[in-house]
Amino acid sequence: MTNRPMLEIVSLQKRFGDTVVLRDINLKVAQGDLVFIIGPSGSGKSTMLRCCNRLEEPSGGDIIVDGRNIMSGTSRDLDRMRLKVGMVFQGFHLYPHMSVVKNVMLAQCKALGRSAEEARARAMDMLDRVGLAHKASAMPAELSGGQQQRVAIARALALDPLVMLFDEPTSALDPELVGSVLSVMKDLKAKGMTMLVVSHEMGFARETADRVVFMDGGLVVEEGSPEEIFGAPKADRTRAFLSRVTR
Amino acid sequence: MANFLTTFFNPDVMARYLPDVLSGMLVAVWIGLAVVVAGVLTGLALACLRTYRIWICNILIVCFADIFRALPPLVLILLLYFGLPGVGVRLSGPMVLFIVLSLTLAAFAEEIFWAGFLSVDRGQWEAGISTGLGFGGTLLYVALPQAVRLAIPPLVNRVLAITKMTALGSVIGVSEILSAATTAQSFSGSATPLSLAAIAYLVLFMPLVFAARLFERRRDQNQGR
Amino acid sequence: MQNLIDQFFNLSIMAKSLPLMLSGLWMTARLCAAVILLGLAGGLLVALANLSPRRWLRLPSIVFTDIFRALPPLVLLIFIYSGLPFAGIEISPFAAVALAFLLNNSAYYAEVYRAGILSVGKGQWEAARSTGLSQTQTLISVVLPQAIRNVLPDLLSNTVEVVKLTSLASVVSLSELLYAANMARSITYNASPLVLAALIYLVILWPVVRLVSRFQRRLAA
Repeated sequence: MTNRPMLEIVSLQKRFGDTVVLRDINLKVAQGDLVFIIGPSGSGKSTMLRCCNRLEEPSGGDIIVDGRNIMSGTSRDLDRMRLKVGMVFQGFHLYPHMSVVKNVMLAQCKALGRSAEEARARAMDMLDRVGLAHKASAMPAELSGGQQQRVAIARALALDPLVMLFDEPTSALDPELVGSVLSVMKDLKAKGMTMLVVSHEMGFARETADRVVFMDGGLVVEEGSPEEIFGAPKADRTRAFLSRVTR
Repeated sequence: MANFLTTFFNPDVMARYLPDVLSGMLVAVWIGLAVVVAGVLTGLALACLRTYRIWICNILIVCFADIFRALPPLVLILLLYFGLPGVGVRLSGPMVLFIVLSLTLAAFAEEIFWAGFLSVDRGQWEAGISTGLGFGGTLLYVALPQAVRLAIPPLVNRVLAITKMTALGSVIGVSEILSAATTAQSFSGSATPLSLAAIAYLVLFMPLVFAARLFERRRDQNQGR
Repeated sequence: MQNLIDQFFNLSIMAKSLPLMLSGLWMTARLCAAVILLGLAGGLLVALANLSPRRWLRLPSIVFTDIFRALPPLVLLIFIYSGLPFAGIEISPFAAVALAFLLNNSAYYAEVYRAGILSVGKGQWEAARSTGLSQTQTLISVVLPQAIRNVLPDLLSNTVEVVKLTSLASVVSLSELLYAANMARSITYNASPLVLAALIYLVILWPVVRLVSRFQRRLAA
């Protein structure tokens, strides 16, 4: 396994007006690793994730993807970097006016410049991978939440990203639909995708994560293997948080 | 540039015709107010009547609202002003303007209030009736206040659009702002009275535009967008 | 009663004035095509400027929409048609009408578009930008199609207003439907041509008005 860092967050800061959300975040995600972020709400997890493709503009610090700093360069460069950083949202955000396969094709055609046939073929591959090839011509509103989220994953995957960011991908789902999304994520991990996941699915973290990061108050409080964090947390705040959520 | 200013903003011409334009503003304000009161109240009454769901009534109301929303007001104005004298009915210009604009506003207001009634939850009606308010009481105390609140932003917009049409009075010789200005323009041989008219309308209607914007913003915020 | 029918529903006068009215209708159709297309395009530009983060784009667009929402279209039309020649600019009635209504309609369409674009959630923008689509691509492929669908009833009812508005062109002697009808009225001393014009407007616009109501009811439900 190469240990080249695929995503590197260097002294990242974010303020909204006078409110400091991220104080000083440093994090490395090695190629093929799944890093799992936990922490109480308001700890800055989602903001940190959204800074990684500059949906949220950082107030300071650097984001380095595959050796390139995405904080420098033109807006065209940024669009090109965003292609390399896939993102999955809590609310799916499929385009409601387009069929499933068109959802997966759009950015391939417009941002990557693939031909329609090429994009369609790739889209069908990805839909097959998330188990939804048979829904290709359905409209998003006809799908369950779990299916919509899997399409959203396919949409990001079709662009051949180097890293995938997951922002609470299962928290808007009914409990019985969570499993299908998690198993797609597990499959991705098995195929060597580099992933940064913000979620409350502690069981999934224990089972799949290479490293778990506990954030609180805009800082990384503690990080380590799942065994270390869940089994023997060092910091008081980590212990307090875990006892609250795993009770 | 100086040439442009003397053509469109000649101070002498402005001073000379300002009184005419001001009295035109007064006429526009009076007709406008009468139209708003008559139009909104008629529209509201028709929408309330429609909640009783008497089918013959409702068909008539819907036809009325559709026709007066589909017809250009200027067509009606010419029809009443030039057509009625042929059957022995002679209405003054301001009266024709008032009738046509009130009916047009009533048609739009009815649809707006009715849409407000439709979006009042059925449970609200059931709650009112089950607590012994009766149909009329529920209409008056429960449904109407909610419908009116929803209706205000689109209604203000519509009131603005229709009171602006008092300018159509110039076509049938109502001495409102625009006709005062066009008369002054032909007497003075200057475009300045037209600028004066434009300014007069801006002075009258800008407050309504701001009010409309205010109501829209407030509604958008309430919807949490 | 007979008098009333003679004055308003005189069929032979209606028939006689029909050719004139039809040529007026043709002019109305051309006028509508021009002002609707211009208004739809102009309104979109004004709306985009209005939603822009850049102040120098936003301020002029707000001033533009406020002024043209406050000015009666007839005043604008007369100002352009009778006023511009004073500045040495000769303008044909058609061009004057097109220009006046372009300004007026752009302001109204802009408000509709604005509401539509705002009705599309922030998540749609974020999802599209996260897949590397540029601002413009996101707007065109993702946001505008949804925005327009969301405000279709309003776009449609605004368009009805535009068609009704073209009747004002008769005031500057552009020979559209109402002008033709009024001409026929003054020749025949009979109001039937005006009634015929009203019927023609009704035939064209009633179905659209019904459609708008149907749409709005569905949205309210």
